Amino acid sequence: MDDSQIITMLFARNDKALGIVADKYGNLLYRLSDNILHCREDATECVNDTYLAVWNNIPPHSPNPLVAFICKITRNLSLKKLREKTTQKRNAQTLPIHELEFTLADCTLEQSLDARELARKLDRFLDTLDRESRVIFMKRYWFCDEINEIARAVSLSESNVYQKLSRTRKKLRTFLEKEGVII
Amino acid sequence: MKNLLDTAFCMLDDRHIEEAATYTPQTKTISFKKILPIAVCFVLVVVSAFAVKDYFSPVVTTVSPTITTNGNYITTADTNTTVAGVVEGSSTVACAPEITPTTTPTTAPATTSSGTVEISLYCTTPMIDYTGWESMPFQSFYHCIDIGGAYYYADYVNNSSASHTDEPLEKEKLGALLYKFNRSDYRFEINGSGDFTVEIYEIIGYSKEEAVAVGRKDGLMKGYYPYYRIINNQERELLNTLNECQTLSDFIDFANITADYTPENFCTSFWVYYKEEGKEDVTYSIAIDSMEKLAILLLENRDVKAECRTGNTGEKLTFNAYLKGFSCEIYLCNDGYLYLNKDGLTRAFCIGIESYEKFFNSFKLSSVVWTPENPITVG
Repeated sequence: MDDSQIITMLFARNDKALGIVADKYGNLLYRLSDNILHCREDATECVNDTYLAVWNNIPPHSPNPLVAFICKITRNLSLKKLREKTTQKRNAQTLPIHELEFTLADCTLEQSLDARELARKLDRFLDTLDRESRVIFMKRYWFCDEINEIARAVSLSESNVYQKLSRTRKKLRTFLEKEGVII
Repeated sequence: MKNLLDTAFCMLDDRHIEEAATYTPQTKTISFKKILPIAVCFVLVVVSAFAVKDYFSPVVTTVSPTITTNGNYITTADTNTTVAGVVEGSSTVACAPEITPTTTPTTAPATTSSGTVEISLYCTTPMIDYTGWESMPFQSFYHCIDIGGAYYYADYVNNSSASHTDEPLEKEKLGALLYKFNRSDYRFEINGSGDFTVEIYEIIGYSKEEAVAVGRKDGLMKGYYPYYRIINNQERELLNTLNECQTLSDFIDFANITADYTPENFCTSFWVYYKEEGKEDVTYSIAIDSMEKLAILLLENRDVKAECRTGNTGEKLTFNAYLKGFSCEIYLCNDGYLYLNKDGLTRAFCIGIESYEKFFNSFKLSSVVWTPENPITVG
């Protein structure tokens, strides 16, 4: 069943749609959440909350693509939970995105830049990449996938994936410098 | 920066997320139509090459080698190069120790007193770069002794001994033993002097003040002493990656690569000792709990000493690695394994070293000070 049919079912308030979403994207969502939280119970809870959010938000929303919509919900819920856990335990858990922060650590950010503008620039940067590098970048820094998982997913060796990530980070830095985002 | 980046990532375009979520690698198929012209060109080139090869002499790159005073060695580092130059009073020509000959060197005329002699000698790129290492007079032969955790070294030539802290033997006694000790042997025991055994370690390299011990010449195993295994391809690949690290970012990448390794043995942290100029010994230490910190230290301090300690007991291992410059990010414990820690936790990385020679070759040392008169002895 394609996503538009799922959305039609949701608009019709057919709760079987959630079962179909779970069958189709459940593993993806669970892995995304688990990559961030590293806790089976918490990840399962976030995925279930995602289904609830999907039920509550469609309608009125009619997202296209659906997968990005639900992945964003799962990611946001997982990050929120991670922040709660971190506050409670007072131990910061490292996410892959910190590698990016580290790459840009010695730079000064342009003061007036807001997140939306930065996101637009990141999108433009991603458009400049070849598909494989872009997917690897997203899998690592958005989906927080482990390197071996990415290597499996893109049929490359782990060292190749590392090299591609390293080059992409360098490109990103150069791109942001050219764009005046970092000084 | 962190929050902004996090937030911006949450706002990335849906199509990028969808693409990554649904990505399936394309099957790479080789089309016969595409490969045909290439194959035809290849065949033509090969046939042409065979057809014309007799009409041309092989191209030989000739460089002027640095030939040492007695003319016995070529120290050029050129790869696969036919070298030519003036040989004075020499009968044979060989590669310097850091260069591996891949062909048998041609013998130059024994009667040549001077003149240009072309020598067919192909040498591989040297693995060892001695840059930055002190010259080592041949006679100044050091041995390192480990006695129950204490760490000694001695200079045979000057008939003196020196030691580090907590020595269980008096210096004088140790010096006398060392003086009498036949240096062609590498192990002896002291009976009746205590319940400890003295182990002699061969020294394969040293810095200005202290020797570096890596293990026993005889390769015997005792306690936590050296043992070896063959490095596997994956480790070799990783070692190559490590050697290619040029920047801090590269180094961090490498640390990430190694993060998932869980070797049987590991060090829980690195203690990096700084030597302050003008002071004799270690002045202070800092526990390195992450590769990032270690990498930064390596970048900022070109002369740091890493010492590996076991995690459970804090027992001192006798290997001390001098990290000379960024080209030497290799830490070897005295069990013959290379360790790189990440996060100061159990995740570490190890590379087994097949032999001392291999280990030595795997080091990128620094400053060519080698001469035929004063070769650096490497075991």
